[in-house]
Amino acid sequence: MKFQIDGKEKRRQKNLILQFFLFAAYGLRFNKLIKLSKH
Amino acid sequence: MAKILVVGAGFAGHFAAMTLSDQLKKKGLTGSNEITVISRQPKFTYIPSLIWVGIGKMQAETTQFELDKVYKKLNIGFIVGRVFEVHPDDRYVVAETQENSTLRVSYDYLIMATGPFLNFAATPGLGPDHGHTYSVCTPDHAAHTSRRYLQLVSELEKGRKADVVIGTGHGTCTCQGAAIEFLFNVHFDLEARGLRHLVNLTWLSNEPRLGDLGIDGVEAKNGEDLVTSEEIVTELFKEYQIQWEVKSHVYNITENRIEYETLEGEKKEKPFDFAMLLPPFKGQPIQYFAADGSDITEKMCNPAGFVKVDAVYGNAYPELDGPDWPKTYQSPVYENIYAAGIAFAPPGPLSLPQKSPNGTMIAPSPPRTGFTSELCGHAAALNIIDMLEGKKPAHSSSMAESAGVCVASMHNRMFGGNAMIIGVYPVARNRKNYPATSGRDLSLNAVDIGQSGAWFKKMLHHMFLYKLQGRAFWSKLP
Repeated sequence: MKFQIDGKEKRRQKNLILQFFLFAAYGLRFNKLIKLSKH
Repeated sequence: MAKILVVGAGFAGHFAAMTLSDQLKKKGLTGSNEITVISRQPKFTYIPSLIWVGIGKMQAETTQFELDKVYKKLNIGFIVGRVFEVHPDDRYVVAETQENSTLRVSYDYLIMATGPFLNFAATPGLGPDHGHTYSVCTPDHAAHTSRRYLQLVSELEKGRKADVVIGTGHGTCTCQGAAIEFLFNVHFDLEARGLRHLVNLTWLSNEPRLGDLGIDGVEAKNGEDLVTSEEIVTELFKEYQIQWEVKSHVYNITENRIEYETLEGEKKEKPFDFAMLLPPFKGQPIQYFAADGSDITEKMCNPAGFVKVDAVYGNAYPELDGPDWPKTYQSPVYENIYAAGIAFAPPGPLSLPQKSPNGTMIAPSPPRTGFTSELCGHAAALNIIDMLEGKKPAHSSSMAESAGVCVASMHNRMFGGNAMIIGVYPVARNRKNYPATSGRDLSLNAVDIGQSGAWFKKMLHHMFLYKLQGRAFWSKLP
């Protein structure tokens, strides 16, 4: 199994600083997906 | 002057009307053209947030706004009514208004964006009106669900144990993502109340495997590894002690038992005290008539009542590929008719359709998220403007060339919350364009869980409601 909901993963999910950066990163990814979708 | 009529004011219809208004204004064509929307509901509902209404964490009104205020601002005519006939040769529709009178509305261009008919009757005992289960498909259903859920909570507080079943109420259901969101929200809400240990929580679904979500699952790169939605959902279910039964067709529901058939043809039962099972969808009951009065509904729609568009119909699942999915959403029969959102007939399923030895179809229908519906409505609106300008429809929004963006709420909190982020490109596997990676671009796909997802879900709620109310700079928002 490549995705384990173990202690390390849980800490990652709740680390607010990391999650803030992920929020920005996924925002950019979604923006790219939206742009690709509008023809 | 052209009359453009939009039937339906959900994500596809409402956004199509807004796009038409915006584009006609930008092109200086407002004065010479007229846009009208007919909707069964006077309010727009942001359906993705109804899962929170269903557990009593949000009022139904918070997900809604009055459409007529928005349409006045955007110079769009608005009629509250139910369209039940379309006469494409004579270019008019017949609607029943709120006052039970019959109204004939003419058009030059028509966008059918009626959304689904919730087919609770497909399974005896399904649904809140004539059955024993609950739903979060409409604001009324979600509010009704929350009342029963909170009643269950008060029973649990007295020490009672309960069986809770969440999932799909038929073998051909769609929108498994919404049901799984409700499941996770129930889990976390019960856990926060200290009642989770009293509940036997079960996911009962028609998906071919866990994490399929009606879109044949999602796989994404996680560093060097490939992580799949199946792995993530399986891990989560194990951790949260949620039981599951997939590949199931619910065929009957009594007051406290769900009867279902598995893909192996085995008949099983599951007891329940509270069940939220989504219904299958079919097209709205609308008939189409030719100039001679003959019924041409079968020519216009597929057997489920969804409007046929520029898709390639008839290919079996293994042969179905990206180019088969519709691009312009134009009817092949009448070039001035378009269908968008749930209303258009897809060329086939996204998930593997299967049949039990008894001949029962267990085949999830393709879901269309708010974003996908918006894209369809947007393309249909722009294609009508192309035609107004004397051009051929050139705008495309194929599900095989556009992204699916889904944030599945698990625990709605600003801090200590959680949600699953799913980005998939394209929604419909396109093996022609991405032959090496099973039809998807793995560098663009995303599957993750975390607090950032909960922030996203909250942001999408506010952003969509802001944008769809036509507030300042709405057209600049993604």
